[in-house]
Amino acid sequence: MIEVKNLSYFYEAEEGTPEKVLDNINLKIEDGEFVAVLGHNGSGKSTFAKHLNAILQPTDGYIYIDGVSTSNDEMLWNIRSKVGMVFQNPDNQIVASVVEEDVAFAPENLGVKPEEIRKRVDDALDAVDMTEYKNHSSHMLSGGQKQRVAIAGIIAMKPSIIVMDEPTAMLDPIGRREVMKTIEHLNSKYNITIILITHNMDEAVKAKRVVVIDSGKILIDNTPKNVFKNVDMLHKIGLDVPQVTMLAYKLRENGVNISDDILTVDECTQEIYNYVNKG
Amino acid sequence: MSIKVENVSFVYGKGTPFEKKAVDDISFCVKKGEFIGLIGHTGSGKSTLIQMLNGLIKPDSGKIFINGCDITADKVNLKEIRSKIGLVFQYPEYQLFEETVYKDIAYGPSNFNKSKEEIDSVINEVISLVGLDSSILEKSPFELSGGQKRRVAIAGVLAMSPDILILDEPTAGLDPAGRNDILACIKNLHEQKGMTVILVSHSMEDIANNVDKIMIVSDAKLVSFDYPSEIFKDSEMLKNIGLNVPQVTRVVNHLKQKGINLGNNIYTVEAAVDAILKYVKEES
Ligand SMILES: Nc1ncnc2c1ncn2[C@@H]1O[C@H](COP(=O)(O)OP(=O)(O)OP(=O)(O)O)[C@@H](O)[C@H]1O
Ligand SMILES: Nc1ncnc2c1ncn2[C@@H]1O[C@H](COP(=O)(O)OP(=O)(O)OP(=O)(O)O)[C@@H](O)[C@H]1O
Ligand SMILES: [Mg+2]
Ligand SMILES: [Mg+2]
Repeated sequence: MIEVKNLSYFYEAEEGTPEKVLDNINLKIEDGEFVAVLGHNGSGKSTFAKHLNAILQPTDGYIYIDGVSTSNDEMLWNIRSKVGMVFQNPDNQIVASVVEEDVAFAPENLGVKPEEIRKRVDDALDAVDMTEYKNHSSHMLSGGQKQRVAIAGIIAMKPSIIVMDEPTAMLDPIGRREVMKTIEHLNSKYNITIILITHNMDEAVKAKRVVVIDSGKILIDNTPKNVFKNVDMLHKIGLDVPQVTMLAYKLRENGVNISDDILTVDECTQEIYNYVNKG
Repeated sequence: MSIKVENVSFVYGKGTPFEKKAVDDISFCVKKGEFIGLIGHTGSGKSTLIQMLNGLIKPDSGKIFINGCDITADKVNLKEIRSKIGLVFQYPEYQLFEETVYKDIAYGPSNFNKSKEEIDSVINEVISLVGLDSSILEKSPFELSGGQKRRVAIAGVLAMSPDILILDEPTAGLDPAGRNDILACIKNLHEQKGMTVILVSHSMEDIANNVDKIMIVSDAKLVSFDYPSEIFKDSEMLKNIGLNVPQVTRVVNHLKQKGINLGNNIYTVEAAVDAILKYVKEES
């Protein structure tokens, strides 16, 4: 379980007053939850994410991972073996020069047995469709391929909590869909807690809980259905809704009486179908 | 400025075990003032192809003409070409290297003998175009959030007022409002100044909402170059090469399978709303 208590964070400023980036955040995330984190650029999402595996430590307040405080330097290894992180820019994640060594890095560090590592690496590369690149240089890949390798590294690590900072930003539509399926699978089959930071509203609707951060504070914490109903409010704070939700919203504005909590293509199709056949 | 690409090919790591053909015999023409969308699966060769267009990568074979000038020829003045063809990289980190945001954006214009006043006024203009506050100018680019870095990288290229603007996934990492603002800004530059634009994107929605024509690359080859109405007709073909149609087009296609035919060429929310309202009216 993740428990965030009165968390505030300031980046040190060379001159002038330090900037308060996280402002008294309180949050509890149970084991096996799937939480999407949204918020405008610079709202503090990545800063928050880096607190979860103690890359950053609170200026004020505490974070407990299964009861262990991330401010306790002696427990850093324990925390980092539980919380795996996919960074916003995959270049910051590459640690080995060959793809499969890169993917094997975390489980090796955790002392996983070699045969087990082999299997995990193969499975992880397969899950992100990068098997044919396993002997390639990790630096000589396209943007999306690097992103896939970074995701494979975390899958192979099998931590109990996975934090992903915009993991699909550079993926093609089908790749994006596959990564989302993999994430959902890790969550439902292995009960791994997922924290997904994204600007993609279609991905956020897959989560069971949506947290919106605004200027370092938690503004909304609710189910996707309840969050994405508020089209006007979301627009006001610089966010959006899935394209089908927007379609339904505009149809309602034009007097078409369909549901206001449509989030997927299938729901949208069904609602319009029902409406047309009724009318 | 126009772009003409003739039988261009490029191989990474030639002669090594990891030899990879990234661009395979590609030819096309882009007319002055066109807005082109470039789509293709991960690793299909998009970034490699566009880096050739401003001379960053030299093709192994084939020719590239910018306004009739062969930029693949020996002794060509690449500095001049790069001042006219602005390229926003896929990862903004590749583009940011100065100590402050101000210096980063000023880098391009100051290379072209502009006065301090001119540079300041350009910087103020582009910084607001990309939705940043001027308080960011004295910060280090490395102390910015991902989306802020992206905006600074775009501002740096806009500051050079290029004739051709090439953007490699410029909206990745931007929040939705930022994405809409930046795309509107690009569209505006295209319409007002006649800028030629090539937009690489994985968002079929953004592509559908903005471009005149779409180029598809798959496995290093150019497989299509046509109007959105033609490209988005064949959703099965698109899926087979890792792509898709916009969400609303999927709804329209599913409705068609269920016997409700809203018509063709619907790939924006506005078009879908119109078609549905029209259908309802005609049925009743
Ligand atoms: N290393 C740093 N030093 C100083 N300030 C920083 C640093 N990293 C981020 N900031 C500032 O902290 C604020 C929050 O940044 P953060 O990266 O957490 O935002 P974010 O929500 O992840 O944004 P994005 O959607 O753009 O990735 C921003 O105003 C940013 O400029
Ligand atoms: N520096 C490099 N060295 C060797 N091979 C490379 C290098 N950069 C890219 N490649 C390979 O060339 C092919 C094309 O890469 P490119 O970066 O052009 O793809 P892309 O279409 O931009 O992909 P993405 O959507 O993931 O950004 C890929 O298969 C990639 O593995
Ligand atoms: Mg971030
Ligand atoms: Mg690329």
